[in-house]
Amino acid sequence: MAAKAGKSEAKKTVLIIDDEPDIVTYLGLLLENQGYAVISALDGQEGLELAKRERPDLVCLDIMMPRKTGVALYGEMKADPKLKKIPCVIISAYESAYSFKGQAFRRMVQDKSIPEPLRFFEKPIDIPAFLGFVDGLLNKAKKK
Amino acid sequence: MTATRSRIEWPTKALFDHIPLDIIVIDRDFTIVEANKQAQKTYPDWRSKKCYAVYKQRKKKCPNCGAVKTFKDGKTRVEHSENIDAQGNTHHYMVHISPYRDKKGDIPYVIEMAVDITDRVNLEREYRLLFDNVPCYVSVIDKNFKVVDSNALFRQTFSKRGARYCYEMYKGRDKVCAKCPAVRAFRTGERYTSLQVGMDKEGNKTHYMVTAAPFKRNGRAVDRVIEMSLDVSAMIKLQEKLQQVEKEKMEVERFAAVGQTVAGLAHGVKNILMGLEGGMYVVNSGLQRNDNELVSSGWKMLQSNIDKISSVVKEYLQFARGGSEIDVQMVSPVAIAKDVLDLYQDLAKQSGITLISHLQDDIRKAPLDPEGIHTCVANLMSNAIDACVVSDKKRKRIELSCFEKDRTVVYEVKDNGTGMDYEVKKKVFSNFFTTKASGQGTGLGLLITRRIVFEHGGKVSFESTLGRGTLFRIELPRKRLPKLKKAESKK
Repeated sequence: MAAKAGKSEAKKTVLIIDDEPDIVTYLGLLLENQGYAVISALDGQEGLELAKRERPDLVCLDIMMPRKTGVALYGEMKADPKLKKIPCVIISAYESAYSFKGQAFRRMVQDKSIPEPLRFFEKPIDIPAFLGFVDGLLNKAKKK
Repeated sequence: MTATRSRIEWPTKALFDHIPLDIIVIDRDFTIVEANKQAQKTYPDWRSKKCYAVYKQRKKKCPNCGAVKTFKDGKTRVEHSENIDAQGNTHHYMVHISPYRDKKGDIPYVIEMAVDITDRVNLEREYRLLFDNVPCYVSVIDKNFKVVDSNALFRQTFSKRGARYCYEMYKGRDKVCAKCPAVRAFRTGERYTSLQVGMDKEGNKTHYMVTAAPFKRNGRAVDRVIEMSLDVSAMIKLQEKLQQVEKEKMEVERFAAVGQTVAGLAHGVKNILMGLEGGMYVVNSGLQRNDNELVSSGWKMLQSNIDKISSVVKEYLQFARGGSEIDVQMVSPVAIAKDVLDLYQDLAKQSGITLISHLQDDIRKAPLDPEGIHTCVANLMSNAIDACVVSDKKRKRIELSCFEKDRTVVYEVKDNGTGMDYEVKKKVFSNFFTTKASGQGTGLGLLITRRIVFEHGGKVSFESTLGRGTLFRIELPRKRLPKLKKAESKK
């Protein structure tokens, strides 16, 4: 699954980076059905390249990925002047005992000036909440 | 006869003065009428004085005076005398009191010859002090094991009513103990030490380390043995406590691992759950759109997640088997390493990885579960290969080492692969955590490794630098290794 949906000018683009193809397929279809253009990558390195090339409107990021972890990728994006304005949300199965939220996330990012991600979604994600958040963020784009 | 002039003629006088004894002559009034040079050294002011005034600083004659008795019965006697000089110092003497008879057979004088034994008395007191106050039990026994002397601590601890023999006192037995170090000391004249369990007078078990030192009083045969025992009960208790604590610690470690597993299980299930939700959503979307391709892709998602459930459950069961008995055998640690090496030789070659081994051949066999340890080393090896495969290094290398250091069997697997960053390191031992692309691992390998190593009383640790590589180490201290079952240990 990749950025198949014809990318009209009006459509906002969401980049999904997750090493689980199932998650990419699922979220991709969900967002496409919601009227967004979706592009995706299966690891952090590919994701960073794609973000640089496509400049998406939103990045949905997993944490545990081969080659480059979500935390490392987030740090690099926020350090890149061209990418730092792109909003990021973290979608990860880690919570509670292994929290990646708030301070725990901060600790892992080397550069302390980097802001926290916009929001954390825990797998399996609450779909209405997730879609509501995306719609709100991307300016109430086309409803289906 | 006057007291001021010597009545002894030379050479008798010379002998009298030079003999290494204090010699004095007293008359029936206890007046000193003669003193040799030796005697004058300590008591220079003696002339015409009373002996009790000079030697005891007394005004009246001493009670129980030996000279009085000798004047009366004419017998020679030997006595211990404690004297005080003019400066107030105490001196000890062994005094030989003899009558001096005149031609008529009367006894006008008594001759006292004294050996200064002050040094010896002090030494004896010193030894006695040591004997009574040394913080161990001391007893002197004769050839029949009868206690002929003992110190206060020994008596306080072991004296039992009617007990006279050391085996009665130490252990409440009625005959000589087996493996008695004193028996051997009597026989060979050597010193022996052994650990014994006795019983104090309250009936409590007492562990003591006894040293039996032979003593030859006449210089020929050993006729006494001195037994010196140190109470090591507290130490033994501490040792038992320590073993208990070790055991409990291992239990706690095992529970902690199980706890993490449960937490990890939730994570694994969440991923699968999301995959299943996704599959349903894709199937539904396909049905709504009449898109068969989408339906079948959703169906595949459902299938693969169901497969995942079954493989996770299988591995989880394997993990949860923890606590069941491991199959311990005496095996060569190096042989296990060699097996693993053989197993991965081909795969490494295919992946362009050089496999190097450092195996210390002279390691003694150890009680291990060979299959379990094989699984552990193989897991580390498999991880190392994966780390090398995804790395973009030109020369990929894995080193497998097996050696013994400080009575600890060590396995090390070192790769120059991707290495781990902070986040990955933190999660290394958590269940279902895998950085491998999906379908390549459930993330249970290291957890299983850790569980097996725990069951052997050992630990797994690692060092890793992102981009440089990783070293995993299994340490198995021999003293914590599991015990062999009886049948096995007899082999």
